[in-house]
Formats: sequence, C-alpha cells, structure tokens
Amino acid sequence: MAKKRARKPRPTRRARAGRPGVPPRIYAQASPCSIGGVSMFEGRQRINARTVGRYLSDADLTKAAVDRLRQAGFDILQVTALTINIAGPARTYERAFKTTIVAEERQTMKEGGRKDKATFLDSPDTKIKGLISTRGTVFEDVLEGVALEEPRYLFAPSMFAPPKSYWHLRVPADVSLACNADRAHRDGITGRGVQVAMVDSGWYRHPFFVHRGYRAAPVVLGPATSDPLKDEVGHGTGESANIFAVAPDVELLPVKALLAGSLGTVLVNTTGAFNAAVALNPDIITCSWGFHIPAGPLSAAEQALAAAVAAAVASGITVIFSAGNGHAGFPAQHPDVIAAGGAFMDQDETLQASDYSSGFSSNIYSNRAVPDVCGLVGMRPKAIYIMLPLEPEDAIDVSNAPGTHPDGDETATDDGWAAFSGTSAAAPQIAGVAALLKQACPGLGPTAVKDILIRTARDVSAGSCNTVPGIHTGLAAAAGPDVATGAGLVDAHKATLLAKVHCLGPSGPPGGTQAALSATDVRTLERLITGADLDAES
Amino acid sequence: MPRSSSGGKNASPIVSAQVLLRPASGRRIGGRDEITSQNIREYAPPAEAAALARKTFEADGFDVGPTVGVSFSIAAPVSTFERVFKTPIERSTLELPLDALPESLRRVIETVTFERPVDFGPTSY
Repeated sequence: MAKKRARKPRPTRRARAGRPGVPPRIYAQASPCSIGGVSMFEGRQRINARTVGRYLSDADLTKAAVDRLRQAGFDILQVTALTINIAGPARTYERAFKTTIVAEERQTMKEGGRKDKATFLDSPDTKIKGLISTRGTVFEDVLEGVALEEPRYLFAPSMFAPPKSYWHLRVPADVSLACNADRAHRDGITGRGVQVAMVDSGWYRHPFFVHRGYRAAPVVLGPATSDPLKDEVGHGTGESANIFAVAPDVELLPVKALLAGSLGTVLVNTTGAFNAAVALNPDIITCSWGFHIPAGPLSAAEQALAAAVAAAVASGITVIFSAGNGHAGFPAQHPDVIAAGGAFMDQDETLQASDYSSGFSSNIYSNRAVPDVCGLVGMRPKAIYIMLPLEPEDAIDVSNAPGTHPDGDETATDDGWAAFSGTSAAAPQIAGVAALLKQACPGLGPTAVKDILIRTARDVSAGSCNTVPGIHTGLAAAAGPDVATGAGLVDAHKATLLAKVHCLGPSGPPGGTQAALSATDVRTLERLITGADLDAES
Repeated sequence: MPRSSSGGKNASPIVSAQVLLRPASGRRIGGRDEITSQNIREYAPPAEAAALARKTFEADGFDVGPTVGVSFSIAAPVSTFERVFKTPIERSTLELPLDALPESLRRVIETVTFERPVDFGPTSY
C-alpha cells in the first residue's frame, strides 16, 4: 500500500494576508525547553512569581540552543535563564524553522488610547498568534518555541481633559479667565522671558504641555532624589499647569524633592530642594507644600528653611508658598513669602472663601496674617475643582478617581488626568500672575510684586476659610481685606496694568532712565486701576 | 527623621540632611528668631567656614548642595552617615551628634539635622 504523502498544510487565511509589511529585521524570543517539562507557550499556563521556576532552562541546553541559532544565522542579542533574544531577516526564520513569516494588520490601542491598526508578524503553522513551532527542525530538542516580537505603544495620555458634568475649571482657559489673565495676554503680557522654579514631586512631560508648546527645562533633582523623567505622585506635574494657564510663555524650572513615606508620596528634605531652586536664580519660586506649625519655636530644620526663604527674597527672588488646607502653613507665614490662600468661583462667577483653604494669624511672626492673596481653590470635602494633567497611574490619578463628585473626580485611574486643587493650586496661579508682573516691569522686586498683587486683588466677602487646629475654628470672609482670604482673588489684568504704571513712574524703571510719568500721574493712574476712592485719598 | 530614596535591595538607602552653619556675627540661631530678608545678613556664615564644611563632607563621600541662607544639604547612603557621625541612623533621628566630627568642623557647624516630612502638598493638596 502506497504511503500517503504528507500534505503540506494549506495556507490559512492569515497566511494569505501576504508578505507586504514584513520588516527587514525581525526580533523574537526563543525559549529553550523548560525544566518543568511544559512549554511556556502552552496557552493555559499561568506564569507568575510562584510558577516561573518551572519555565527556567538548563544552562547547557541554553548554550546548545544559542550555538545552533548562531549557526543558523541569527544575531543573539540577549540570553536569560528563560529566553534567548534573537534577530534576523525573515528568510533566516523561514529556513531555520521551516515556516513562513507573514504580516497582518490587527486592531490595537496606540498612544493616547487611540484605536488603530498595527502590523503584527505571524507564522501560520501554529494556532497561537506570533508563535513559531520548532517541531521537525534541528531546534526541536533544544527550543520549545519562538515568539515573534509585537509592536508596542507607549500609553501616553490624551492632551484633552476628559469631559465631566460637575462644575469644575479646565486649564488653561477657565483658570486664565477666572484670574483675569486673558486680558493681560491680549496685551502681550504672557510671562515671556520669566523663569519660574517649582519645587515639588517632579514633572512629567504630559502631551498637554508638549502640544501647547509650553516650555519646561529638564527636571533638576533635589538631594537624594532620582528619576528626573518621572513624577510618581503627579502633584508637581498637575499643579504646574496652573502656572502655564496664567502665564503661558514662562519657562518652568521643575525641581524634584525627595519622596518618601509608606506610599512614597510625602515630600522630605524640602529645604535641600528649595536651595537647589534658589541656586538656579529664577525670578520666582513657587512651592505647593508646607508644615503645620501653629506656634513656635521653630526647629533647627525649620529655621534653615526660613533662612533660605529670606536669602532668596533678599537676592530678589519672589517666593510663593501655599497657605495650607486647614494647616497653619509654614513657610507661608514667613513674612517674606507671598502666602497663597483659596477663593472658590462658582458657575455664576460668584466668589466665596474656599472652606478647604487656610486663613490664620501667625503665632510665630509678629503682625503676620495668612494668606496675602488667593488663587482658585475648590470646596470641601476634597477640593475636586481643577482638571489637571499628570502622569498616568501615578498616586493622584489613582487615588482621586474612585467615587462620584465631590468624593471622586470620576476620571479613570490611568488616563493621566485628575481634578484637584487646594492651596497647592493657588500658589502656582499666583506665581503665574507674578510672572506676568515681572514681564510687565522686570525691575519689580519681591516686595513690590506682593504689594501689587494685594492692591489689585478682587475682594472676597462671602464664605469661611477652613478650620486651623490650634488657632481657630473657621473665619468668615468680609468686605475688604480679611484673614480668611487676605486681599482676595488675584486679578492678573489689573496687576499687570499697575506694574506697567509702576515701571513708568519715578521709582519704576531700572538703570536710572528718565521716568515717563510724574509721581502725581502715577498715583492717579494707580487709583483708576485699583478702584481706590480718589476723594478719600486726596 | 531620615527618609530615603528607593535604592536597590541590598543598597544602603540614600538620605539627606541639612547642615546649619554658625553665623559670622556670633549670634546663635534660636527657635524664636524671626529670620527675614531684612536681617538674614546677621545670620550669614563666614564664607571660609562654609567652604571648609562643604569640602570636608564632600571628602567624606557626601553629595553637597548649594549653601543658601544658613545651610546646605548633604546626601549619602545611611551607611555613610553612620560612619561619619558614628551613630546609628533610625527613623526617629532628627539632629545628629557632632562629637565624632573634627574639631575644625564642630567650630563652624550649628547643627546637622534631618527634616520631618511636610504636612501638606502631595498628600493634601
């Protein structure tokens, strides 16, 4: 009886997809036979930390496999106890493993969650996609299979914030508008030429920043920190968007402070990181963090930080700190600092004190009330208010997501967006306004910047600030300056106008140039800008 | 309270502390002093003292940060701190004993201290 001739397997539908799209060099992982006797490519096997030992390979067997692969013409890129990374042209694979390499288009998820097709390679002889069988080849006794590498796409978040139905602010538009920065931008005041250093958890180059063309210098590492490309928490990345919202043309100088704690989300040795920022000699330093110190004396470490702040301001750097969120914030209460409090703007544009933000009189520094001015901050319980970009799956992206507003921000835990604020948002907004002032009048020193911000702020006369343990149980905002909100919400447009007037007056221009305005003219214009009562001051 | 950056499994974790220098004016840095931009010059350390301290710590294997105000940072594995200060570093450690430092250094240093973690910021926005 004549032997039945073995039939060559019919090309499958996948094989008929043809060879176009096959790259000149193909990468794969060849797996030497596992010591457990079961191939890692058996579809039902679950490989985990407990079972991986079964899939390791004998060293001598691996060496034999490497030798044969090399003889077959493959480049050996890496050898591990599990697999051998190889590369070579399609014809080398086809000759060695008696197969055909085909390319096929499959649906996949690309950057930014974008669904698209990508080219995958396959050997049609096996059921498992991308697997080459070694059966019937010289590799049969040393390799249990060869896995063709697949295209992989970085999961980059979208530059667009996810739409949410609850009332919240978006960057840059809403924050800019609410801080009255749009009109300053229309006048050409955008923060150009001004450097703002931000000491925080790091900075992640989110597409939101890249596609808008915002400028950020490489992250400077504070003492004992690592990984300048990552922001494991997302706080620095997210809050920095507030700076760009108000001053889109600043150059951001991110300084990463050490992260610690059981979850790696707490900043430590911030003085060292602050000093690293001072060494960059920026125009402005903004810090969205602090200590709760309701009474003195200060510790040695706190005095070191106080002295660093004092030295920075003495050298002409404007320093801004968050007032706290129910904390007696330090260094916010340091008199050289511009302390950032919180005002909440509702959908109907009404303003009230944020009940999440701190306002208090310092027990450490005489005659010092915090805040000086406010930025935009949400309300309790969690101040979920400004949709901000951050590194996907970082601590805030994950922790803010669960629940519905106001307990959760209703975003995904891995989308690179989260809604949050606190006085951590207020400080960078105020830093943005300060940057506009420095562009409008480069000679302004820290005291003049603070003075202009205070004189031009929008009064907040409703609501109460947060309780500050050890100091008070809540303070109401009232007409005029108050402890709950300081002078009120920053007004970027008015502030830049006043800065320009300052620069044209006798005390303004640097270098002894001729003043364009007399002192009387300056006073008159200042009154017009700030709305001060002309009669009362005359 | 030293906090470390994540290191390898067997690596000694890297921690950072602030070195406060004695003011050239001879005045001490008290906890109730209001150090501001108006009086910071009174607290400034002598330049040569800062240079000496920085050089000594660098020679001992520390990464030394810029001097700003009255202090600079030193960062190194815990084992380096323990070797130089001859004291075990524990989570509760704040100020380090200066006894093991050379006399020339003790004369110019006010204190070496770890910093406690911040109370608000990344975990309470």
